[in-house]
Amino acid sequence: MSENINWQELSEVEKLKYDSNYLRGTLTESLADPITGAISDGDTQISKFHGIYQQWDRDIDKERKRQKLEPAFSFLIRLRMPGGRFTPGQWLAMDELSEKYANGTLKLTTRQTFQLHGVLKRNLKATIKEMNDHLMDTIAACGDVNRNVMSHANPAQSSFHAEVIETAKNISEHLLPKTGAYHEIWLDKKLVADSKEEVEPLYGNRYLPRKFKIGIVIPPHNDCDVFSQDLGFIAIVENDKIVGYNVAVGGGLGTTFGKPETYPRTGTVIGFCTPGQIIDVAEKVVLVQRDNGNRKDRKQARLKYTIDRMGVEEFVAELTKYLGYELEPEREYVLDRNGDDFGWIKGSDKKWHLTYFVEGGRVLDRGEYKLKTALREISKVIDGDIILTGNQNLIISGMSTKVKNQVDALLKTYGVSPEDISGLRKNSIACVALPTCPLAFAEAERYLPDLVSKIETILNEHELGKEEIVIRMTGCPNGCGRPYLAEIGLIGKSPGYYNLYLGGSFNGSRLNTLYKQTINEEGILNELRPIIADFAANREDGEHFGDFVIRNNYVEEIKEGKYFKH
Amino acid sequence: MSLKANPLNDAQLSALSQLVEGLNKEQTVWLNGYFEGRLAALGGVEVPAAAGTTVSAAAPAPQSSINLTILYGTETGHSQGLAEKLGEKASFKGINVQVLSLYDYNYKKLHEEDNVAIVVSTHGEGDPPDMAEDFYKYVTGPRAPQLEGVNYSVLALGDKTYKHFCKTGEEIDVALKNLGGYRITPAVKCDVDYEQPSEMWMNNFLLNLSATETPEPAAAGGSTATAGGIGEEFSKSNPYMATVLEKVRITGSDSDKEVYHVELSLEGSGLEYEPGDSLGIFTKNPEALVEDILAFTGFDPEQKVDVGEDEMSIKEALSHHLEITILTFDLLNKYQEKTKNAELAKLLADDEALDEYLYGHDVLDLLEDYPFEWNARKLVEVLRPIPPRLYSISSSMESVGEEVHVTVSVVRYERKNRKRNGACSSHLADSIEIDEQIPIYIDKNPSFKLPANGSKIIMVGAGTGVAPYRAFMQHRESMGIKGESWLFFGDRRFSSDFLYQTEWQKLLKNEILTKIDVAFSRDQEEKVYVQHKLKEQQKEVFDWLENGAHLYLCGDMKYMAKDVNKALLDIIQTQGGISEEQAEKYVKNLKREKRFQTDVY
Repeated sequence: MSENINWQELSEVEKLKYDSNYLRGTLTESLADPITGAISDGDTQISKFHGIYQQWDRDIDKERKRQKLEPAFSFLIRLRMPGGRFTPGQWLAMDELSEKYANGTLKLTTRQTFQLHGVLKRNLKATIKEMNDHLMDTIAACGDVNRNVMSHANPAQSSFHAEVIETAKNISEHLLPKTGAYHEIWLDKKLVADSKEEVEPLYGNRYLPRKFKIGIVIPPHNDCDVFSQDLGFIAIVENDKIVGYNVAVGGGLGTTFGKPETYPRTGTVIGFCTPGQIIDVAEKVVLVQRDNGNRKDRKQARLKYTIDRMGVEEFVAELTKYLGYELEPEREYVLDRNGDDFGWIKGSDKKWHLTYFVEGGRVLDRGEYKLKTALREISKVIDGDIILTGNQNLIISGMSTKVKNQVDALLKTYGVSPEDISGLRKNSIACVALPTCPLAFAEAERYLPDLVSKIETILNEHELGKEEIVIRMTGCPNGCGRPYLAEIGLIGKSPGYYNLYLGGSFNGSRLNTLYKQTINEEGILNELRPIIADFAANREDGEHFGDFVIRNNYVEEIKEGKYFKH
Repeated sequence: MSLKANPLNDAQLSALSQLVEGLNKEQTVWLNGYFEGRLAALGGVEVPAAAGTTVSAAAPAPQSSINLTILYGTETGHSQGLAEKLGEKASFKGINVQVLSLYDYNYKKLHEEDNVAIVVSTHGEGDPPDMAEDFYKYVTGPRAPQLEGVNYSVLALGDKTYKHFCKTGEEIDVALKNLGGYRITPAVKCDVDYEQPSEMWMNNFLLNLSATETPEPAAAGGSTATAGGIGEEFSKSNPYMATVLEKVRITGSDSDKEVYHVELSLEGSGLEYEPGDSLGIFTKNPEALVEDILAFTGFDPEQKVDVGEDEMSIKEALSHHLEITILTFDLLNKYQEKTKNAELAKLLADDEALDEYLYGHDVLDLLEDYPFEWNARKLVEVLRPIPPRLYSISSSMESVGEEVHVTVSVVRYERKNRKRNGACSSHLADSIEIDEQIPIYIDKNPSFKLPANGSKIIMVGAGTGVAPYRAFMQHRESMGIKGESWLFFGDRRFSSDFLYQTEWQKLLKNEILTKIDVAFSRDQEEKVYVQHKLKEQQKEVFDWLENGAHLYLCGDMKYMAKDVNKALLDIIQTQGGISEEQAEKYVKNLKREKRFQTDVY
């Protein structure tokens, strides 16, 4: 890469990355500064590559300002755990860390991993160290690199689960930054004195133009929303064997209000690769994006824009050059849903697996509802693993019948037996939003459960309580909760106000369309009420809500991301 | 701010200087028009028809006498970008311009400005950006200044998809108008595509600004009406009733300490103070304690007693005139004289036990512990008059004008199942609200003063002991006194008890404060206090002392001052390589040279 760089025309983050000495920045100094609970502005960008986001409690922002105190800064720490599979020991370690250093809760993310919230600067190092003691790290959980690799989550649904999770791990390892910064800063590993300037053979000294996301699904399950990923792999099973993967590129959901040149996009399937090629394909797609992505404007930097700018054909041609071979033509596949199937299933492995709904992905104790305690106690008795799904839920997996009974008993003891929850709630996702996410314009996790209850009332009037409808809410248009792929999407505009989007498909293959702009709860319910009534009366057999609103012209189908409007 | 990059070569520059020198105004105006014509011919900046202006393109030559302050409030950086752009345009016109964020701007100087341009955005539910909040509150609030003679204009940024489009800019615009400011160019409200309208506003504003240069409006501001010439003089014996302008708890909601920042108006009082001085506040006693004493003694609340030369009810005397929350050695002596209590005599003879008793007991304890058949008149004779409470002033008049700020830690504790409240601090915390008045006077403290020059200063304070250092720093900042300064601050918890945290951060950033070390005793297993921080930094502390630094110590006498003094002796002994005795001499010498000053209580 040429070092003759015109910084003026590049986004500021490009210079920060370049100057960071391979992701070191001034983090060590920032951590040692006793005057502030924050890290320096530049380091807030660099820390992301280490899985750490600076946040503050926005609920008490105004109060602290008047008190002449700085905002109540704390940090979000996100783990990297490809495929989201945790041993009971790791669960217990996270549980303990959340009590000791964080806000006492665990957040299950939409990328199959954990987030701790509310970690103070002075406790960051200890937290990361203790994670490391349990073979967990946070490297590249955020930042302009390949992030946590997702994979199909449910061992009970597919005997190939073990294979894809292994593949997810291998891809993740292969695309990890090679810098020693993480180990030096957080784990006190010494800088090897005589080593030459270390090089990132894959990423170079400015890493990627923007974040990069990879996910693998095994049809018919689309539980990690393969079309939302920059790079998605769809496993193709023939003769009881994974013979390869369809390759989907250019998915990505984040947008910005007021910038029509930003839009969500579903991935384009460009071909098929063999299991032996998958890591190579992942690497080369990353490299094409590294070399062609927009580094001037971060809001045009994701792979989706690179592809739309180049055109799919030219992108594939470029990729072929990098690969040195052509991808085979895509193979047939059918995806049926992007949600999780809840409840106990006996897998082909003869073991029991429980897919368990966790509202908003938040593991906590609240009054009689003692989910956190229950899962702690369960972790002490189970003989399998706990797997996080891409829908903020979890699977307690690999249990014998005896242990299954114990788990059932424990869930009951702590008041968290799987309830008979509505089809809508089961398929709900909410991002964190207020009070800690600095990007949020409106509530999400703290509000969606109430809104769902109110929509349930309408659904029940039409005997649609069991109807599975995907609803997702985020506090801003950046897309963490993948609202653009929901049948009912809600994106926060300002406190109490949301844009309402309708018409995503139940299997996550189609973007939704803006239906109403900037409406409050009353507006949302008033808009949904007649549509639900119409749906109940006039739906076709087995027709999903998202398909219905398109067929009946409530909204026009968005065929390509670039036609999406807020 | 100057023109960023001068594009002229040396020859051109010297030719320009020659040409410009000695030009009169008319010639300059002509040249300006000439250049604007050339610029237009080159396809350059368009000067839009300036609605409502009578002045044609008459911009002043370089070295204009126009001063312009451009302020911006931004969340996303757009307003800052526009403010800087306006700054460049203005400086290109030779205007003396400064561009500041509303966060960095001392808004108390707003009324002194000639010309102000404000670029500000609006967020969420019509809220000002964080950095503009204080300014916004100031100009729209009850403490807003008079702005006669201040020219201004506002560029408001917003987003039309929100209900309160450009609300902040609009309100600031109206507020400045109502305060007497002259709206030199109408405010412009911009949606997300702000480029064109903002360009128009800038050009109009600069045109109108140039028009103000002559004639200088007669600075005929009505003389500041100090009613009746020389007012009455206020003092301890004639306290001033100061209005509370601001009262805010500055320890976080999760703190177990209650510390208030209180701002009082001195407007028209003629009272003056210097950093290091204290504020005397007259107070009343907690009602509950008065009731408890009356109940315990069985006095009729309406019984008349004499206090000094006045006759009043015992209830009134206990509430407003006599000290009952604090015990003194003198009181105990008088009490003993009247009661001949043998137990009390024993206590008075035991220094250590006496110290213990004096700390944290009140008159009701005394009455309970050493019973006696009191009558109201007799009891009143032994009690001393309630003295005003003194608080180190935490502001500098150079910075805040006719205001005085204090930092008050509220005394509350429980003993023997009875809640005890500090007479003044709890009164301020619980009963005094903004806009109410309290009697005050200034208590000069000539032995706690900044060095006159910019000598180095080391400031050591725990808790509210940090108050005078806020005054010191305000003073140095406002007076432009350059001098190195080092603060050692200690309290319980970083997250909730870092008094004036954001102000120290700003002072550090602006290099008014050179260094700061902090000790938060309860953030880790082992207790860490300021003296530990001094010791950690002992080499440098000693260096500073050797290089003429002035050392200040303020705060709790009983523990902190003792420990800091000891640490200081250790440091001087170790670093100076001298004996304990010599170190003591060293400290004495510092004190003699007024380089070691203390304000402990």
